[in-house]
Amino acid sequence: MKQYVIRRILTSLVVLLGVSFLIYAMLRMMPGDFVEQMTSGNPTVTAEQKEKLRELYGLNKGIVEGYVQWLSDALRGDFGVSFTYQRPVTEVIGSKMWISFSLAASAFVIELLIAIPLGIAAARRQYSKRDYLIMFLALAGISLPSFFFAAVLQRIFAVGLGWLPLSGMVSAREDYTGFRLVLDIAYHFILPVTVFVITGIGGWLRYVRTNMLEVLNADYVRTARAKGLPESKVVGKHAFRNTLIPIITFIGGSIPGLFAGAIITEGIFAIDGLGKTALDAVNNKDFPFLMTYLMFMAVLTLLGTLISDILYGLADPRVRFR
Amino acid sequence: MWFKNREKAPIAAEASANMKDSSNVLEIDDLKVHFFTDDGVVKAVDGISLDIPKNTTVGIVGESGCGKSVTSMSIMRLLQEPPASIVGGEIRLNLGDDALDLAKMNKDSMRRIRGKEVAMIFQEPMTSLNPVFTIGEQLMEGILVHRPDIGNAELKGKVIELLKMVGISRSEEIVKSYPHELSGGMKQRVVIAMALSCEPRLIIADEPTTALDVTIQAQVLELMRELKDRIHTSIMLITHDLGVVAEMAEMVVVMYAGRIVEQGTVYEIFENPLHPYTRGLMKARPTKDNKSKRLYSIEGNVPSPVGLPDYCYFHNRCEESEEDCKNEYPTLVSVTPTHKVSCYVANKENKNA
Amino acid sequence: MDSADNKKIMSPGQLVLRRFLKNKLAIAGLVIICLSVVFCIVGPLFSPYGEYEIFYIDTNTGEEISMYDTEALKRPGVGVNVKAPISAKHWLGTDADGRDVFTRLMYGGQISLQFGVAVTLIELVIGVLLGAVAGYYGGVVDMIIMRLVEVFYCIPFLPMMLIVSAFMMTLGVRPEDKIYYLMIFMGIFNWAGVARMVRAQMLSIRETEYMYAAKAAGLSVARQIFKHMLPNAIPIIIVMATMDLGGFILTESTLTYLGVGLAFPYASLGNMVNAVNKSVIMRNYLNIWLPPGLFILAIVMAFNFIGDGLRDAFDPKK
Repeated sequence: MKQYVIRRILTSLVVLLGVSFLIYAMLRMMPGDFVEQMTSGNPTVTAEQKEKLRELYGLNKGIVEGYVQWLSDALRGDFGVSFTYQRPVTEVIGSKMWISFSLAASAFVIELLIAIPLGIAAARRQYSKRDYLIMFLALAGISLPSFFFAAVLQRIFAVGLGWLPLSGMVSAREDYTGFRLVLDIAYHFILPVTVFVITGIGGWLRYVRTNMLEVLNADYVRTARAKGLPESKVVGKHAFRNTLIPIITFIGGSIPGLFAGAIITEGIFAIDGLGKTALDAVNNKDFPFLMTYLMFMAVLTLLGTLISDILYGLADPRVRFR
Repeated sequence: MWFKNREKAPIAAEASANMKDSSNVLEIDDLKVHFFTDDGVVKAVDGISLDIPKNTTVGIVGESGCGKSVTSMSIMRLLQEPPASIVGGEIRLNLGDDALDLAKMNKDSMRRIRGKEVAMIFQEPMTSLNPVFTIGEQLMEGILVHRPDIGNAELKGKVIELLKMVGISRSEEIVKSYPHELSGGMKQRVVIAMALSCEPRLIIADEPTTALDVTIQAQVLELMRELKDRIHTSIMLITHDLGVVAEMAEMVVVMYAGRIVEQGTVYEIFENPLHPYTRGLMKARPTKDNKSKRLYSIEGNVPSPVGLPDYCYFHNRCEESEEDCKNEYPTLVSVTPTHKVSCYVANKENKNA
Repeated sequence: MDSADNKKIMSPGQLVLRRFLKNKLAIAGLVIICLSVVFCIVGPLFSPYGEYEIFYIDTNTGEEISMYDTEALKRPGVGVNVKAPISAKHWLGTDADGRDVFTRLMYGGQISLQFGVAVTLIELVIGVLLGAVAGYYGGVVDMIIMRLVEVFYCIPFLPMMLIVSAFMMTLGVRPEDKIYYLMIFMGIFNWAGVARMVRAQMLSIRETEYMYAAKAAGLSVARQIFKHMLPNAIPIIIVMATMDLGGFILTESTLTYLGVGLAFPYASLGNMVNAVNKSVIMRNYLNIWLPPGLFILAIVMAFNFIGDGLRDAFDPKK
């Protein structure tokens, strides 16, 4: 197991190297003077800084040389300073990602709480009306453009009924602290979390249903029924424990992604997380931030697959390493 | 709500039945099991009747798709309904003082029969055990569900005893292991132990040795024969292997396309097979006498189960068919008190003899 | 009736088709897509208005004037007929620039569909080719391609598209050309999934007896791959392509909504929904932003229904 993990980490590093080079090259291959273009709308950047930037990103060198320089800086933990925030990029990401996480994680928990029982319910009566309805809702959710759905929710609940805030994370002019602050944030999170849940739950529903269907057709489930176990035990214990393996694996693999931030939803609801920051960075051409942000996302993806593979090994007695 | 169980009904009054002969443990009477599919109605089992006497092994023989597995699954009521449905007939189970018609049982009360009165051994030991639970856990749960008041110590002792009974020596160790740590033969022994755990009146063994190595096969069959006498149970042995039947069974039922074509004692069937299909099966068996010749095979395939003809289903494959055979489907006719056959040609020969 | 005659023998294709046709959601999806195609391709032929035709109104008489009627536009009191309500002349009213919403819906849908199909084709060409090569040759070739797959799999798609798209604007790519760049980039960032799937199929087929036979018969590599191996992967490819198609349309509309995707001269559904950012429109002019949003939803959902139905139909387990 240990060896396996080490080998996986090493391949991941190779992949990461490829990703970083590709991203760097892509950004560099855009014609024109990057720094000039990107800093043109930002008067706070001085000529001196521009020159430093060119040097920092090796823009005065070839792509390969420039990349090597970027890489050696990055390996020393220097990812540059964000134009917009005038702070080290790593610091910006480190602080914003927790906001994104709190939003995404609350939605994630709700998704699971709904998707697992509903997915099982659909699988237990395959091709029934119930199954069709659940799968219809799942697919509809996947197909829903989040920007459109967010607008509809805002129109109904914020503009129309006036029950919920249109956007933002805290009420302006109210200096809540402690528990009141948490409540206030939760109040502001209702709409964005709804967007997350509705657009994200479909994938989970399908996953749970597919796995449950597979398990319900397994011979050992038939054996369990033949023993005379009540259906609740057949499904709840024998089938569920077996679907739990892929589900846990998938959950584990999804957790890193919760830090990634949601560009659209955070942008629309003005939640000051990583997604909105990235959106702003695109508009402000905050190159150091974007480069690091993309790398951060790549690391999260790799981490996700790594975690799910390890969990798979731990959860299934058949592949459990001793 | 999604998860609420169906109303817990007591064993329905209409499920009570009377045994024709109290020395039988199971009587199947004109059982019809149909599958309602898009292609039409599949008459998987179409009016079969058979008796399983106490402490007897009855072998059910036939090609795949002849309805033998459907029969066993309908006794256990494990068929997926729909698309399957028991459209007629009775499955009477002798409970000693009274009898039940399993065909009419509701799902909830059927649960109390499964594992306790009728147990099943499946074909695939590799996949029949749940990979995420230990052997001990899976054995205990089967006992616990029918004897909820059993003490912890007694339960553990019982599991060890069961494993010893099926010839597993390191039972204390095996209890703690997971299925994937066991060999195929060991797994099948565990499955057998599971079936024995509540000392059922009837054990249905659906091709119990097909997936095993030849040497292990013999051991497992020997074990089953031994255990049958030890706990005084009956075995319904489903197989396509005539050798297994000859070795294990006292009674034989030959099925073809959802119907019984011939039944009798093992002696009658092997010494005096009457139905051309049974004869074909016998000839298709490798024996030491016809070393040089090619192995015989019955021409053609089992007919499509949708839209079967209204004459003998075996007609188009039969080497002995005559004019009469295009008449309506032949009834089962008794040749001796135990030997029955459904064939015009065989009956004619019999009368002449 | 003879039993031999009534034995219905169906080809695998017929079986798949029948299972597919039984799936009500899939049929609903197919109907939606057919209707959308008719609406978007044939619709404009019947619409009396152009994609960019702006309507003016004579505030004195209430008479509506087209932008092409240059004479009438010179009259005093003529202004752009913005945010006109739903009427017989404008079935969904006009937008904030005085254009017919219903007509723009047709053109927007047309672009979305074309865009989705194009990106899917690009994705398939790259993915199938690389996946097949990796699966066929195995070894070092496979290793390199699979690492490449992982690399592309790790690149965050939406942010990357956002950046590429936004930079294209700064770098002065002509909007007419931008749609092609977007297609190519989107295809390039998405082939990894297809390649992985095709490779897995190839690997399992490679070890079958009939492939040994094909190899022994001395068939060329291309013939082995395209004639004997790829056809086995087609069901999976079709399912993936259908679902991805919906996904690409969704991504395109998202980018456009954010203002970095397709821009003028193309009418785009995402762009039309973007009007919702003006609070007046969000509150009072549902006819401007609700229809395009629902149209995107309908198209994407339809593709997902079809993909799901196909997956079920291809599944040999049932």
